[in-house]
Amino acid sequence: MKVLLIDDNESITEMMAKYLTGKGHECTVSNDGRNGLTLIEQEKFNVILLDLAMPEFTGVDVIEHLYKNGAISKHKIILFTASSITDEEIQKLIKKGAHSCLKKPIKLDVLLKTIGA
Amino acid sequence: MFKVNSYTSWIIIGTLLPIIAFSIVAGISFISLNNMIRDENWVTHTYMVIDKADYFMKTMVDAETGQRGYLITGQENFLAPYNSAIPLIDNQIAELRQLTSDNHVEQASMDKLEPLVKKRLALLDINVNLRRNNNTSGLVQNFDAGTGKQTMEEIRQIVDSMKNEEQQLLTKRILDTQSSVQTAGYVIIFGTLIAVILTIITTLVINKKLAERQKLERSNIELQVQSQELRDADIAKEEFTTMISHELKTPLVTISGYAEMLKEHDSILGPLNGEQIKAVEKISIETAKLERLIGDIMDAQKIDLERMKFNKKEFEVKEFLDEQIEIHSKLMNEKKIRFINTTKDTAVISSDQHRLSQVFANLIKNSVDFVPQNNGSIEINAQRKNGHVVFYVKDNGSGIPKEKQDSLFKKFYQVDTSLKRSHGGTGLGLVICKGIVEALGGKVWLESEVGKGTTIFFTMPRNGVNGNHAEK
Repeated sequence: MKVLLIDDNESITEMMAKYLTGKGHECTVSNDGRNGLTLIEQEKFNVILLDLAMPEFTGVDVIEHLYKNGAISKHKIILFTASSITDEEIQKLIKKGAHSCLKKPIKLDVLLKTIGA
Repeated sequence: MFKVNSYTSWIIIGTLLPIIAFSIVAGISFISLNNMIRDENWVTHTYMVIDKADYFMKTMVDAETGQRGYLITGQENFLAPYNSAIPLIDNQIAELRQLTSDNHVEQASMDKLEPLVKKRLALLDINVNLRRNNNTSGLVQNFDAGTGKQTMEEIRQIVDSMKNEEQQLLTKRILDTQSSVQTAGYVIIFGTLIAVILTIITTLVINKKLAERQKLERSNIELQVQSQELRDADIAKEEFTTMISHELKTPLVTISGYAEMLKEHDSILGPLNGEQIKAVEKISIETAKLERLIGDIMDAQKIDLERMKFNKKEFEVKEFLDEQIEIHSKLMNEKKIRFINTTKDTAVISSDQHRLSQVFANLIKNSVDFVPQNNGSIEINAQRKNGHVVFYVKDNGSGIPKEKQDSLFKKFYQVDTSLKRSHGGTGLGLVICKGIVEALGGKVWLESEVGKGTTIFFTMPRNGVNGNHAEK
């Protein structure tokens, strides 16, 4: 599957890309929210892994953008968070069209299952 | 009901007392002024009585003199004073009676006076007539009897005694007035003095109270400012903790991710030998611990700021505890701890299962840390009591000394630092349990004996939820 990884932390994207590639997925990495959004608009991905807390252009901004474009329903977006955001806010994002939300630290086997689901 | 030391009552007392004092002074002044006016009227009245009495006596003497002139000369013009006096007398008597109507002594004198006057006037009339008829012998007879002179003398005496009586009354009244005026003077001077002193004292007291009150109000404002600052500090602290927690969790993603990848059977990172797998295992376990600690800090903060959210649902306590057994069974098997649910009660409560699971996880984890290595035993139970369900987690661990039991539920506290070192943890587990249980309407307490074990109890209200089976 074509997976897009958006997280400002390079070690995380590197580790995950390594893992997911090992599991047979095709990974594209972006360490910047705005760049990630451009990639989403240019290419078609099966799954987008999106970190919510990023500097300047956050994961929430990406979701809002896609929601306003009406493009959000075309993508399967899995969110990451490390407790910087409340459960209510997560529920709002899921209502707007995000697929699910995983809390950091993420178990890789759970991630793999969520991608396949 | 009336607090004398309160500010308002001081104002009331401080205002009322001088008002009362000034009112008394004013009342007494009014009364003594009235007395003085009344006495002044009495003086006038007395002089009027004396005047009238003198005038009456003069009229009587005029009548007598006129009669005498006529008797001597036999000429009618000498009778003029007599004729003008006679018609006045009745009127004068009536006036005197009326003026002295309030005094029974004077009235008694009047009663004696009136017949004497009549008698005297009758005799004068007889003498005048005798003279007119030239009955000299009759006149001589009358003069010899001396009745006229005697009657006149009696009349004079009575009138003098009446004047005397009035004079005495006046003297007495003036004396009375003088003394009452003197008393009034004292009352006015001392009353005013007392009122002024009272006003000064109460003004001073009220000022003092006012200053105290203003001081209180000032410190109240200061407190409000301080509490706002504390609230701001809480918010800043919360933001800081959230940020730190985020920063701490981020590297854990990579660490735990690589550990997981390394542990995998067909690891894409290549095969590891036995020792290496053990090392990675340790990394995983410690990472998980770190993760839990960060979670604990966040939870303790939420409890502190009352931000924790709850999602209540009805569930059966026995089933809930069976789930707890299942959740922790793997760990218990590994550690060879006997872990049982002895619940028989089928009570149903409405509470937050997720948060109660967290409470059990904390309590069970504590017990696991303290039970002996080989025959460790942990028992969990729930039983309804009054309007509550009492839960407990009982272990056969090392126990907690009495003097240290109270502080267990306080933040950042473990029994001693050596234990902290051997068992790890922030010491927040019990604090979080207490916070969750209390937020859900329950209470936490423990019973423990050194060397025998510890039982931690907590209650959950049944909130009117009826068990689906009869109470046992």
